[in-house]
Amino acid sequence: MISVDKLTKTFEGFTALDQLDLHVDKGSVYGLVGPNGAGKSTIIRHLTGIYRQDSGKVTIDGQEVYDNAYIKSRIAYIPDDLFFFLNSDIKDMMKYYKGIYPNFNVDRYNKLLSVLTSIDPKKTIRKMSKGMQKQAAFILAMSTMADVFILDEPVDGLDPVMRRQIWSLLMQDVTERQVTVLVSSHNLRELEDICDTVGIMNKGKMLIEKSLFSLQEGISKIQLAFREGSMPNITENSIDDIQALSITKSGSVYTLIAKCSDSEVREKLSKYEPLIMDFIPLNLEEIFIHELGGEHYGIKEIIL
Amino acid sequence: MGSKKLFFNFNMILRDIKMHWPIWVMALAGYTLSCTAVVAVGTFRSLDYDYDIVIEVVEILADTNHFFAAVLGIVIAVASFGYLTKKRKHYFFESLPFNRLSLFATRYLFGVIVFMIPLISIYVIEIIQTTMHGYFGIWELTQWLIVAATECLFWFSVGVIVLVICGRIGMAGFCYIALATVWMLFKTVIEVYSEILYVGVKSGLGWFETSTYNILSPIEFFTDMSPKMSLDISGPGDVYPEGTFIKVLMALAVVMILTAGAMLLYNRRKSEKTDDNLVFPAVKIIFSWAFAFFCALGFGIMFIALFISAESGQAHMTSNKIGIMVIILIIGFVGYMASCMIVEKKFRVFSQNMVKCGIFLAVLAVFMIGMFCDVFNIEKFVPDKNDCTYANISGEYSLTGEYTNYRSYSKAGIGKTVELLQIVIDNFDDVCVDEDDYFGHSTKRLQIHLNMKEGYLNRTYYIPEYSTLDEKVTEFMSKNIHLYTDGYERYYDYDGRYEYEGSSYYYD
Repeated sequence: MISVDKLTKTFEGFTALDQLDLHVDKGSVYGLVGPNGAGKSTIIRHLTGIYRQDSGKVTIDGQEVYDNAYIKSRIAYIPDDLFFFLNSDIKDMMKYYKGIYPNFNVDRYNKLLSVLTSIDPKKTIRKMSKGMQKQAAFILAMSTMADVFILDEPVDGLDPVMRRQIWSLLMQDVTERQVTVLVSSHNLRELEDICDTVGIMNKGKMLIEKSLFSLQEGISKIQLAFREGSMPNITENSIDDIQALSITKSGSVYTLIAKCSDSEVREKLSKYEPLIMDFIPLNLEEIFIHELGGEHYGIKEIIL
Repeated sequence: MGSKKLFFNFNMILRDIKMHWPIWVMALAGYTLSCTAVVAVGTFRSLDYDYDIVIEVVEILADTNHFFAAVLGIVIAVASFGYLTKKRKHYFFESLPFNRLSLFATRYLFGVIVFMIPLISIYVIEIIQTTMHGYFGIWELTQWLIVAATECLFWFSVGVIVLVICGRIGMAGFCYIALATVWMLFKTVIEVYSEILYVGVKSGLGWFETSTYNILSPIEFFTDMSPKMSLDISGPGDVYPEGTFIKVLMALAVVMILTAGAMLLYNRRKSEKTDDNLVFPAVKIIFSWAFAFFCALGFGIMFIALFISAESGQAHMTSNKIGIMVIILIIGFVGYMASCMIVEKKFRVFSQNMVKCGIFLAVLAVFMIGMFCDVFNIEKFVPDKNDCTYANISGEYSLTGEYTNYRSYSKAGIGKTVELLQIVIDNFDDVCVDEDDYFGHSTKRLQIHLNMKEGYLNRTYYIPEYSTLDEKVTEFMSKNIHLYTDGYERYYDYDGRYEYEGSSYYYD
């Protein structure tokens, strides 16, 4: 559905996107993650037709996005930095969207407005709180009946209940209408719940683009407990046949994060004869931190 | 699907019109006042009213038409294309389902509709009013509508292209100065090429001084640079025989060029440049040169007028050419570096721009030496009397005590006019840069107009009273210009307003 091939974008000599590839299947939810300044917003602005690429291809359903009114009419975009017209309430914005988006569904708009009851339809949107504005943006975006949702920090500012509600509405669209969603967020725990595929970016490049399942499969978190007095000295050098991303020791317990499958790790570490060898599933945040650790973006011990 | 099938999105236009109601309501109020004044002036003229203070005031009000057109055009340009200078709004518009050209067209059409609302409303009101009183016809008011709309459209187009070029609203003023300077230079080249030499003022630099001053003074500039068109409904058709509609067509041609340019640039404009001062690299070079040129000549000449002339007590500035050159080059350097600071948004620009600035100063120096030496033969060109078909002398060298406006179609008269022109050229050092009283030297205006087989020459000289040249011109006029009259005629000012009735004099 969404395809980005060898996309490069420079801003006055600074390469914001460097030969970037990204692929999202129809009806899937894609989580775009990366540190600040990785280029997430830049890629999103290419996908919504705001930026023109220096080189490479950005297509949705096989058609170039830039300067393509038809494709853009099939995209609903919620930016991090929302825009609403001065002195406009949600009804004014609805009328505006209705005149612009060909498939705008007024019934759906009314239904959403009745579900998200905290929105006052007569209040100027710019005077609403950030969370309210996000809700208004969601109501409008979901009423466009778009095939592709591109969301930049979409639930930032929403309370936990409203977050759940918004995600559940979005997931309904994914299952019922086969909507494709690309979401960029720093809230990795939340992405973990909704994403099928995750792309981790850094410095304008795509480091990893995998399904969440295979991502978790490729990295193992192992806890090894030893008898007191028989603690082996496990270092990165001593287990160089498995790619250890981190080794921490706490009492008689070692915690290892390694880049290989569970069976490989089990086989390689059994030589230390641990009392207990436990495999704990890694969450997305841990994967993110450890993947970027390899890119010199690890957590540093900062002492002031 | 509206946005797909149509080039314009009317929903967007209607919403914007509704949202921007204060603009067109204020314009409506302003135009109501100034247009009522225009109609009143027409009424006074048609009734042959004598000049008095009331008419003067009403005429000033009528003149505000130009001012309203300019302000309205620019304000509406900001309302419709101001989003190009605001990142959040710009990104919002760019993400909507439009292609770039239809977004441009929609915003442009919105602008045109917004300024047409007050104009058409006034048109209808005036038609009702004049129909009731029976003074004017619908066609005369339609002419006014066409003229006023064209003037508004002209300024709107200027505003649009400036906003397309700028990434920040604060830059629009600087860009306007640069654009106007480019226009001024272009106009000079065209005028020189066509031999329409209005540069009779002392030295070409004087002309630039006047023009740059006009750029600094918005009202002067509006009335001078705008396609100046007024309601000519009762008036003296022979004052502007070429007709108002030629001017309308010329203005529309400029509008088309500006709009096409704006559209092409808009299509190439990168959204991410919204926060930059100038969006296009090529424009940055033009801006730097135009801005520095403007500073050098505008501020430079003002500086010279204030200090060098005051110090030496001279009536004119050109006698100290080296002083002028040095000051203009220094101010040119400051202007160029200031333009670099504006473009690059930083103060540390000196080291990396020294070479570019050197090139600019070299070109400026060559240009000024060219001006001083009159290499383009602008100042001292005297046509062959056999090439001339008509001559006119006007100004303040009256032979009768009445207003000076003497014409000649005879060979003898034309020959004497050429001789008079030669006398002025031979004593060129005495001529002042403009009509102002320079440090105790009051001046007299002498205007010489010659129609040639191809083109014409029209020069205005300001001659200090009691100077050698003043004596020579007075003597030549009294000895050689033989007047005869064939009756009376009405005299009108430059705006076609009735001034007074006097003898029509010819000479041979």
